Amino acid sequence: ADKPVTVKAVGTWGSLTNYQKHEGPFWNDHINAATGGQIVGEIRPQTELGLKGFEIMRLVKNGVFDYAFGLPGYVAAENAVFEGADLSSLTQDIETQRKVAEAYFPTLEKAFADIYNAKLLQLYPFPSQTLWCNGEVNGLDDLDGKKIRVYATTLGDFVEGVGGTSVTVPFAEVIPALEKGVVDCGITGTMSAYKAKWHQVATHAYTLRVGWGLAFGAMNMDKWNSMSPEQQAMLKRELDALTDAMWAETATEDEVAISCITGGACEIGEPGAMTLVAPSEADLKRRDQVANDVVLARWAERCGEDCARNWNETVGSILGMKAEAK
Amino acid sequence: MLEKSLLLSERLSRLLVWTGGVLIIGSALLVTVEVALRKILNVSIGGADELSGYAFGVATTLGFSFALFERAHIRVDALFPFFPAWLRTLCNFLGLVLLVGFAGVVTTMAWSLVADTLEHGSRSITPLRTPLALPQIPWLFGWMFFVFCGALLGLVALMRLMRGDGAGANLLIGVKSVEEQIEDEAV
Amino acid sequence: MLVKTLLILIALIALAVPVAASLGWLGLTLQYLESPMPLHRALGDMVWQTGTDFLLVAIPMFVLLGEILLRAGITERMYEGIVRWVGWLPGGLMHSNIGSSALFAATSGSSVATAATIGTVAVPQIEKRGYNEPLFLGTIAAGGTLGILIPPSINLILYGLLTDTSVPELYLAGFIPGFLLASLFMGTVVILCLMRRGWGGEAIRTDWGARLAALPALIPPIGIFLVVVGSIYAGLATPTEAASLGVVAAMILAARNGKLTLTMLRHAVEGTMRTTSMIMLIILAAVFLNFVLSVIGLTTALTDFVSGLGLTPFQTMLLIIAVLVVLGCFMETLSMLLTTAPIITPIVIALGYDPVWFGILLMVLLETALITPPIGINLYVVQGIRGRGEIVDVMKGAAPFVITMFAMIALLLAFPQLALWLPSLVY
Ligand code: NA
Ligand code: NA
Repeated sequence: ADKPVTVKAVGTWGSLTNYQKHEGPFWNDHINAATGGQIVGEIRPQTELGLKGFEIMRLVKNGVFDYAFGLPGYVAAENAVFEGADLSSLTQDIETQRKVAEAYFPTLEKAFADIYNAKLLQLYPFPSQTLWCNGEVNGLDDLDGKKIRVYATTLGDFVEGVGGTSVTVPFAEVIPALEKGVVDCGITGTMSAYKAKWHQVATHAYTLRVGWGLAFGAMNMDKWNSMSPEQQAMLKRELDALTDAMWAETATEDEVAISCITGGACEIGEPGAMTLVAPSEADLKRRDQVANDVVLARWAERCGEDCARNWNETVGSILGMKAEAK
Repeated sequence: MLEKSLLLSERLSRLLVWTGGVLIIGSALLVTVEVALRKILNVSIGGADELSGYAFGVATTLGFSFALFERAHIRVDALFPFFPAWLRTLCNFLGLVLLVGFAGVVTTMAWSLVADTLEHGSRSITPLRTPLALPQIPWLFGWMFFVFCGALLGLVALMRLMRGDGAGANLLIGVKSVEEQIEDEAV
Repeated sequence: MLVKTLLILIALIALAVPVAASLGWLGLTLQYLESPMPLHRALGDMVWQTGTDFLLVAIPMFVLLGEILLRAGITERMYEGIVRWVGWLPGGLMHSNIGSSALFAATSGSSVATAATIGTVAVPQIEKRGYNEPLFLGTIAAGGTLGILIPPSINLILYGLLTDTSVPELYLAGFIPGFLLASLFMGTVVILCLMRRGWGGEAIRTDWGARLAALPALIPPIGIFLVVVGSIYAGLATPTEAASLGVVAAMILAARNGKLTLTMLRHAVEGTMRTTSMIMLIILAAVFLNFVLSVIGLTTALTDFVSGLGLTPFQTMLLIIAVLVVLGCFMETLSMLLTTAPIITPIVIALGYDPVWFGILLMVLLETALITPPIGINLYVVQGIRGRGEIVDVMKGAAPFVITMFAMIALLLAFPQLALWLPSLVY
């Protein structure tokens, strides 16, 4: 029999469902039981460890952790290619987003191996990223001239594309900033917005999907190679099941969060009272143009020609869009 | 020779602190301009917060060596007065070695971070897309200079001690005495 | 493991190893003894990420603001002005220390900066009027802690982030306990000075004419207050940005006084960077230590122990408070907040306590941690400014105020409305 493997892992945000229901239980309990003790794990969320998320993959590369959950968008400092599966506003529903993630998986797999010496094993989503505004917003045109808090390059591109001003404010300061009008809108995930009580300081939930908080699970390559083929297969099988469960969970969680924050049915806490504004047909048309002219064009520019061509062949063909530097 | 290097380093550390001060005051002005423009013209310079974060990080490490020369890195000297003189001297050296040693470990790791940044041409993931090498190189320099000054300080103190100049060694790495402090304030 | 950790730390501290190095080497030693993973390789990234965190930029800004106001003579006049109003109380200037701290706390999000600013003005006063030096220093260290309880507060923002609690509610909740605690500090001084006649220094005589004449001296600081806090409430700036506005406003005021010279700025900057670099090195080492403590499971072991005891909610709360007080002796507050809040708050909420209320309680506990030896940052700041004698003096002087903070904790336990009433009016 093979020697049992111990995996030290680091998870995402300890306060969110993905960690509490999936990442945490998987490594702390499930994997041991599912493999009959062949693989045992231990995980702590980055929030408890005082990490910010940007350094996660460098820690895996350096062997500080064996396995990490994190956001490709957060580790994009080394290369813009990591942004490709979660470019702002391109996908509006979770089924398409999963197809995008799967089409882009080989690209990311190679990037993780080359840059971080890591084996990419999972791509899964956080609840969708949308706009939370203090003040009336009834459609995309109303974002013109608004100050909008963003946290990533691609979100800034989107905001500037619709005529807004992108402002970077740390998450911790968004609530006072929204309340007092330092910013007019903020972008974050549906469940984060509800859990952080943004509804206390914002009035309109404009549910155009500007991102998915797409996340990854990846293992240090040396660690992966140290496992026997049987162990690798077992781990792969269990992680695939975990990935499926996470996609399913997020699909329902998005609806729950939006219902809760806009005063609908809510079983997880006190409902908020935000006005729900869904994007209209005209909004989506305009979004196509912004996506092409600004979001994709700027990304193609910073990512390079080969990177853009690869994107067009994989994700682009699913969405019917093209990344081209202008 | 060593004594002279020490003097030069001390002067350089002061220059570095002033540079740090310029960075901090510059950040304050930048943020003020950002706030004003945002309110009046509804535009954002973009990334004033990010830039002042870098300025702060760089200024901090540039100040480490100055704080070292000023003997400002806090030591809890609760039991210290009860120690015999030889133990106090030993503690002074132990404290310095551990401080510089820890900074040395950090510096080594910081070096590898900056090496990776340079290798990949890493940029921040914010709208500003700052080339991270720009702030990280002076930041790393602050750490390295801190370690250098610490080592130099230890060597010179050791030399003075071996010459029998215990008081001179103490002046470099000891806990500040009442008289010295009063002198500081008079200057 | 807990015992080992404490022994190593106490040994390092007792040998007068610099605090930053003690924390750092404790982390490295525990890693060597307890973890199979090369945790030290995280140091480069952690130190970079934490060292450039925008939320911490408020630290040098508030220290610099204090230095400039100080060197332009503005703080001294404010302080003298407050003396005329509260100096008649037994304990004289020590009330001014606390009152000025409370006022400054309303403009500063950081306890370190509050203690540094008020300390710089107040410390030279010790000899002038013959106070009991330790107690005098204690009022500065303790008064300074109000910086994180009275809004704005970097720590309340972080607590809100870590526990999904609304920051505006937390801010409102901090007002009454903050000013109440300031009053309790003053009460403590009065009682101590009535008990020990010699401690209160010379009596300060004043009259209404002098009091009114002192009022203009309060205008510049109030102006700064309006810029720093007003800009937040007027929707101009975030609390961290507001700190920078405060620096610029202070420079303008200094210029109006004809005090804004290069020499003055150079001295202000040297003082600011000495304090900032010293504090940041400790914070950076502490962040690494906490990382190691979390990874090796010490933090979780503690939590499991607490929840496994099967106590009533109130008993559990008392136990949590006791644990936090002990932790607070040895931990730097920012790291303590970062490590404990995410773990303990869920337990507390499950017991039926309000997270906003607990946030305020936790702030008072952090304030305690700031002045309990051996690791108490405000003690170091005050000693740093004083720059002579032994730190034991400051520790001794701060001790009575630790007791006062315990009384404040008891009040919060008995009357949760102290924290919750103000937010309940709005939310
Ligand atoms: Na405050
Ligand atoms: Na303490």
